[in-house]
Amino acid sequence: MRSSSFISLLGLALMLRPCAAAEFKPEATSSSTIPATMNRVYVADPALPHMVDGRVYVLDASDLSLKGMLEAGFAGMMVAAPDKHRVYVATTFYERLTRGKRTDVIQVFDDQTLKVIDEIPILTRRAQALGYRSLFQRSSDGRLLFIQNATPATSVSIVDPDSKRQLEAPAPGCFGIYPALSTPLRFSTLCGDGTVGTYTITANLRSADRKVSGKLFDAGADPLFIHAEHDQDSYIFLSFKGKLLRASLEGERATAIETLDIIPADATGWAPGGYQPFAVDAKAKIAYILMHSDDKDGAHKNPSAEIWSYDIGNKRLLARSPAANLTSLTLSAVDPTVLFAINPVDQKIERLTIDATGKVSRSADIKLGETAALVEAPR
Amino acid sequence: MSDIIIDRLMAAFDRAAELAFRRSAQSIGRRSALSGIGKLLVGGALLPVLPFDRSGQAHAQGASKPDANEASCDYWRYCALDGFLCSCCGGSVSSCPPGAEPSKVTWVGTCHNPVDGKDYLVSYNDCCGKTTCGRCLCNGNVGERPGYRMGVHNDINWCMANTQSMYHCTVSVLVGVADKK
Repeated sequence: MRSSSFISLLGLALMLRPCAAAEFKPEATSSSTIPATMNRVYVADPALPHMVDGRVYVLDASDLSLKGMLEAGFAGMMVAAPDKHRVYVATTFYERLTRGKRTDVIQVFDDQTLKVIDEIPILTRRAQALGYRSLFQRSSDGRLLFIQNATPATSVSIVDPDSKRQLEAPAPGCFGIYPALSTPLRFSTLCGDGTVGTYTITANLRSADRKVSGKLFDAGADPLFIHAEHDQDSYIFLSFKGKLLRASLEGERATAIETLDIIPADATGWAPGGYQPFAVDAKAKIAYILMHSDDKDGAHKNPSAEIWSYDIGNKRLLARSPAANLTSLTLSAVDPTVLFAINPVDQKIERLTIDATGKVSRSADIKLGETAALVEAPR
Repeated sequence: MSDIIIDRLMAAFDRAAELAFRRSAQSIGRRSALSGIGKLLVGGALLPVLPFDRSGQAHAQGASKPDANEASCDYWRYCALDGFLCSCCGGSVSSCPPGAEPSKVTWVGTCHNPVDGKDYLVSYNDCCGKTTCGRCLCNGNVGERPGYRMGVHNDINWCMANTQSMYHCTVSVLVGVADKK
């Protein structure tokens, strides 16, 4: 039918049916919000091809559907505060988008409206780095935020988001922030000489006292990834060659508890890899580790071929599961049988399930983002 | 390999970082402290540069190939380059595209040239002050280490000490021949 004829007929039909207009109810536009009860997955994507436009995607953990996003500026980093219904994003903005005066802030997002409800100016020394979890952290009581700085001289900013009071603690030669699990005014950092620096902060944020551990790792021969996990009372670090280091970061000085080698004799050549290369079920003390074969110098960020499930308590490998192309992995905070992962090769976010034997299998995915690097499922 | 040189660099880097922080703490000012770092690093001829990880579709660097050209991630001197190749963005293997300036500080790699059989120290300078190029993303990590060995770390923006610190792309500049052990 010719379109002009169709329109004429339609007009005629409307004139002949005067009731139709009365029956029609125009739609009203509105803004969506995310239900407080929805379990969330946050995916931080620095959008490397156009870095001023980084973002954090917010997904429904149940089906990986996209529910919204947070603006993350240039090399932004995120940490969620589910207890406060907030998400903090530390980032950089330039006055003329890509040039001009640099401004660094912590954006405070409401985790239901996804709107910025507060903004905290911070030093323009923030490490403009890939968004590793250990570069932007919260204290164990959630009152303080810790931000990694690099100019490239390294330091840590301690920020009270309520009072906006701040303190900068020098940390030369050290990188990564690991808040003590039971002492809110304490955090540690990994240092290039193999020691761990532990900082104890005064309650008024006026100063931080630093104590250095003995040598806990060999940064040359077998470095630790700066991504770390923890069980209920200790931190767990992973080395390039597949050793788990359990360490206590609760005292004034860090101490090693034990070192576990996850690579059995018949699996020579396998090694961990990625940007967020493992996750730990703190209660069951099981580590899930992204592993690749044919390891060599420079392969420590390689995508996975398998996920290994390692029982830390009983010191044994539980299962090896095929899982190709993953570089970041996290465990759901509400369901310890569910993992979420970033597959940068296919540009997908994946949901994986863990069975009773520790075997892991894919259960869902969504095509999303460009260069996602950090995935979190905190609630 | 050049572990001795790298260790020496790392020590110098840490000293520079500590010195800079002390200066900062003494309120001399960050600009002068940074200037000091820049001179030491650039003058020392070696420290590393560049950013982020570029985790995405970047090609992991395997063994370098003798016939790989400068537009390929397999080109030997990109063994620890994590970023967009400036040679794909209007510059060359060692020069920044128009309007972009080399970073004042850099990270270094030690790469094996399969043609002459020598190992070279490579300074990876980010080019700064223009929007991110977005072409020819490579992800080499030979000898790369986490940020506690900052001088050989490549998941950070090495334009960080430039007045205009937007990351554009990365060049690979040969700065020395590595000592054989």
